[in-house]
Amino acid sequence: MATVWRSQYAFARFFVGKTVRILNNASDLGARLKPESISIPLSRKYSNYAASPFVSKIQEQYEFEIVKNPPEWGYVERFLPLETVPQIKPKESYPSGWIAPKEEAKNLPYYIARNKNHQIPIYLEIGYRGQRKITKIKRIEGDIWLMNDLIKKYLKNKCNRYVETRVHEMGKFIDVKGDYVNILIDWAHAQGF
Amino acid sequence: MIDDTEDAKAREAEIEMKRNISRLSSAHYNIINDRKPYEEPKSLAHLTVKYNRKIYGKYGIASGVNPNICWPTKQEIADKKEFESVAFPYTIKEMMETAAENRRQQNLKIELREKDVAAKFAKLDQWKKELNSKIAKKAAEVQAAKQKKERLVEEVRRHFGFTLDPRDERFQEMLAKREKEQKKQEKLAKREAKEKNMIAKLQQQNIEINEKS
Amino acid sequence: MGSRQITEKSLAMLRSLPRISLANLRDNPGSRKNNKRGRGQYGGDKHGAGNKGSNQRQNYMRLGYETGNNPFYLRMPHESYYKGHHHRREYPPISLLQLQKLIDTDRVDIDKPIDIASIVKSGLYHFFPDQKHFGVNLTDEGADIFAAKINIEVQWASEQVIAAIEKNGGVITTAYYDPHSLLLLKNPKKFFETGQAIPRRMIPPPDAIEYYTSAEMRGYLADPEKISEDRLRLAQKYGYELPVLENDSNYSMLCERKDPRQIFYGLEPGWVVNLKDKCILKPKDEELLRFYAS
Repeated sequence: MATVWRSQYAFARFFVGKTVRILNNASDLGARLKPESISIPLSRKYSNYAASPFVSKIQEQYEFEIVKNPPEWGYVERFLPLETVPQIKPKESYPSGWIAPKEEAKNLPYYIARNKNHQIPIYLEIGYRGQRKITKIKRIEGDIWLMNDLIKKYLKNKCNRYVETRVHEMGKFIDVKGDYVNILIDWAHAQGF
Repeated sequence: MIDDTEDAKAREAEIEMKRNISRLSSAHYNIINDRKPYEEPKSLAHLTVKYNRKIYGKYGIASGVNPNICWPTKQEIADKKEFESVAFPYTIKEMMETAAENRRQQNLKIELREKDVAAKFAKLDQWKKELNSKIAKKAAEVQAAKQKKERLVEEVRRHFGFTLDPRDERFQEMLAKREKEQKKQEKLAKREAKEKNMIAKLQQQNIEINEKS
Repeated sequence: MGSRQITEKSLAMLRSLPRISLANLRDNPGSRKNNKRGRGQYGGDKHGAGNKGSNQRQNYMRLGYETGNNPFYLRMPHESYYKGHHHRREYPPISLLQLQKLIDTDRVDIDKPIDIASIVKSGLYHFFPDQKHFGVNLTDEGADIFAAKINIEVQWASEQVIAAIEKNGGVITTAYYDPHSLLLLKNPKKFFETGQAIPRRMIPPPDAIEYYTSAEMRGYLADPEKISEDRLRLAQKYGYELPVLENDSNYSMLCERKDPRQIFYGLEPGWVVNLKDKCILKPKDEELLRFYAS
């Protein structure tokens, strides 16, 4: 059986302080090792294989019973991680303020799809040490130019100012110059997205 | 007809080997196919309890590991007990009691101090009055002494005709004279007062005797 | 405008283009940047070290050095107010509002008791036991809109939070977990894959024992009678009708509590859980049983 020395300090605890001792399973009987090279004590802070004993040294034989398909398996499955974000079952009310997407919104010529976490994909991008704020509406399907016009009109009425936007048809997003995140989220909820 | 001869088996094994074009090491190939990576131990680490526990945990009984090693040995149990007796020396009851005791001590201290302060507070008005009267008295004394001095100076000045320094000899002589005269007067006054008292007393006694008889 | 035309165009393109292979795939421009090699006009010459000075001579001043004057990091002597800060326990917060959001979006199952493992399983809360984090601190932001009947176990909660949860007919407990148990709860799958037996939970340290034995904080070591008294007191203080738990359909679930030595719901210390085989190994040896039951 080949012996592989992972590092100089592996298994050093066996011969710290014991310079004359036959080593564990080392076929060369430690001929390559010198006591000075193992003067650095093994760090006990990290758990490593060198700190663990060999299986052949364990003599204990415990009685145990193997329970296949145990009734407690439900408890185990409870904390195994989920593969994906779960779908939301419809409820009467959502006290936290989450609003479910409506079916009627699919009839509109444009559409904003929800993201993986079932939230509306409107984000605020801040750059240049807080001087530039851009509201980004992502995941837009359908007639993006129509939506752009509607948004501009809506914001002009609401905020009494002209709002600059940037439409990226291929990227399926609209950038609105300024911080209109909450206003646009309310607009999107009103539309039913 | 199933050809089960050794040649057929060898040929099957060869074909399987050729099918594997993943260029992965045998260990990695096994891991990808949910088998334990090493059939034969290749390193000292593969002989340790820790590694074998992990293999059992990941691959189950099929890995061929004896589940006995999952539990601590008797020595380890003893070590753990010793460690816990040192690291957690107090039981919950003991800790609760000491905590309650500490709380009580703190509250007691606070209470005593508050009582102390309350008692002193009650006396505060009286102390204030005392202090003020003391100060007033002292001020009054000082004031009186000053006024007396000024009066004397005035009198001596009147007597002599010019302002005389209090430390001067003539001033002292004047003072001494004055004091003597005052004393004489006081003595006379006292004697007169005494005589008056005696007379009043005798008169009183006479009245009483007359009343009785 | 032409959103319809564009889809038609792109579909037509797709129909006519050849199939994808390694020969016609390419990285997005700008996604990979070449490493600067130290040869030639741009990477070579001074090799990015500038001209003369300590920078080129690789003789840098130590961080914080201010060329001789008393540096900022040495100007302030010890301040007594932060003495022992690195010994203090930390409880990373999660608000009732966030918890309500998790419940609304079905990331936390309220039909089962909620403990720190389920909150971490939702994927939206993280804590690090090796950084002196000792568990969940439930804060009272969102206490007025909270409306869910849950059986929750946290490590720190204030009175408003307890009131908000009990008002909706729920049950809240505060329990102590030592750092090793927290590591197990943070990632139970990883622990079961190491093939060890489930250990026991340790008892709280002396400075935490008062909190976890007090009925006001719903400590897990407190007297249940005192807790029910305190429920009444809170109901009177915050002005709500105390819901009667016994009449609830979920009464058994709401009453489910962990043993002070238990880490996972339903799994006792000493068991070995194997995920691959879907089996549990329960020890029968007396000494082991005694050790794990102590």
